[in-house]
Amino acid sequence: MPTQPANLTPWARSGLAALCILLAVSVSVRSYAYWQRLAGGAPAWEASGQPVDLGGGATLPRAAAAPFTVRVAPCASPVAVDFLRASPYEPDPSLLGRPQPADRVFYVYRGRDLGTRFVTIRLNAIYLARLAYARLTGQDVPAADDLALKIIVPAGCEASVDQVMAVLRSADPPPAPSALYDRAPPP
Amino acid sequence: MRDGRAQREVTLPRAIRGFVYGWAVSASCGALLAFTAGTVLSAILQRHLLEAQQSAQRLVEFNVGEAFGFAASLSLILADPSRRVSLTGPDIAVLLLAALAWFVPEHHGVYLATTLAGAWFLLGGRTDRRRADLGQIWLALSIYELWAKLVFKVAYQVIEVIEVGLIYRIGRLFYGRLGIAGASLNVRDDWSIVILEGCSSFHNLSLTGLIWLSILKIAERAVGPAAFRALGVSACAVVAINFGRILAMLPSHEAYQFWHDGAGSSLVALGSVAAAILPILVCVERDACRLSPRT
Repeated sequence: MPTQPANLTPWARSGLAALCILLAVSVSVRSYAYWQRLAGGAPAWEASGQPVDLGGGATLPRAAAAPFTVRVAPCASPVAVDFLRASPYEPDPSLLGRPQPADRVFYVYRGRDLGTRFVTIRLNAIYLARLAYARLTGQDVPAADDLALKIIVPAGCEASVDQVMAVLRSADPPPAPSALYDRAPPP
Repeated sequence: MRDGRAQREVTLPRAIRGFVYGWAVSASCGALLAFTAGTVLSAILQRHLLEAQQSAQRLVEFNVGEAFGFAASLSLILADPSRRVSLTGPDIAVLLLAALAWFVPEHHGVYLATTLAGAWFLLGGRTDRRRADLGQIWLALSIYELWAKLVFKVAYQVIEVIEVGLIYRIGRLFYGRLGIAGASLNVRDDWSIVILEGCSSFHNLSLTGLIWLSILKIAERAVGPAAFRALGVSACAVVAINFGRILAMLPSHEAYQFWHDGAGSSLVALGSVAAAILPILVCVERDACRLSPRT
């Protein structure tokens, strides 16, 4: 004989009834969404074209999101800036921009320094978090093509990532794409 | 008053008490069934009504994983009336809270429901083995459907470097000109393949684990060395099949289409499922024969 006391019967019965109601509602919601989708067509899954967020309220037009170099006050050599997509299936970020062994590399997403360790994992996590947010809020365009910055500060230059970002945020007009790949390849 | 109520409970006829207790347990079973079926149904509806088109291979794999998890849950909920799981008030509250995940508009996210309920049942099942078993199955189902996929996507570059490196070492035995670049392999200059989520062995392994655990629970067998050996055999076979499939795609676009989208894809999916099922099935059957020898 089961040991469940009889006074739990209302709990179990109410729980069963509530679960059945929840199931019926969820099936109805999905069916409604399906018919709505049939009537209105599937949402387009395309690039958002959103500008690159540099943090601090500054943005860079999407058209300007190509590799360029920028002069930062204390440095003789220019600082290289590259753009990488936050997505699991993008090329390895460490291969972009071809930094020299003594160069310092920073990864910046929306003005926030991501550090140098586990950058791919952090970028993937950002991508998934944005995708989940887009799904939960019912956005048609998931804006999953967000861009992060890869900043290569040449050896001998003591500029911090904040200094470089300050220069980028104040650049008006935005820096034009330049010959980043003319930099000497690593030995 | 208190004494009088106690007196009434004690003096209830046995038939009525049996009916009341039986109804309580039936309601508990019903709630557990509704929760399990509701989770699987919500995921299936979301996938087939609102997600992008599924390929044949994914359809086979996904349905098999859900089918085994669902069958094992049914087996634990309904089998052996004397040892059925009975629910308390907090259990019902957790099931209702978890069931809110049915509304998540993403078919993997629906399995947040089994994650929460599975963790609750596993942690609270120290004194009730059947509760713990149910918790394990729900967690295995949510690991396969949700968490393994999430981990794979987050650590894609790390996992694929290891997997593609292994495929490259084996592939060199068959292809003299096999080349590797990141997560892509090639044997020709004008043709290469990239290993993405669907082609990785990672998900086949989590499916293997789910099938293995489901069969053990359905057969009511404890996890032992023989069961782990069977799991090892299944895992090796599943990985070997997937590596063979990837290497078979390399020579040409036609070969890729056959093994990735054509009949070869379904063949590989069915082969992987068979490789996951057979070793543990043989192990369970062998144990059953030992337990009840025929003279």
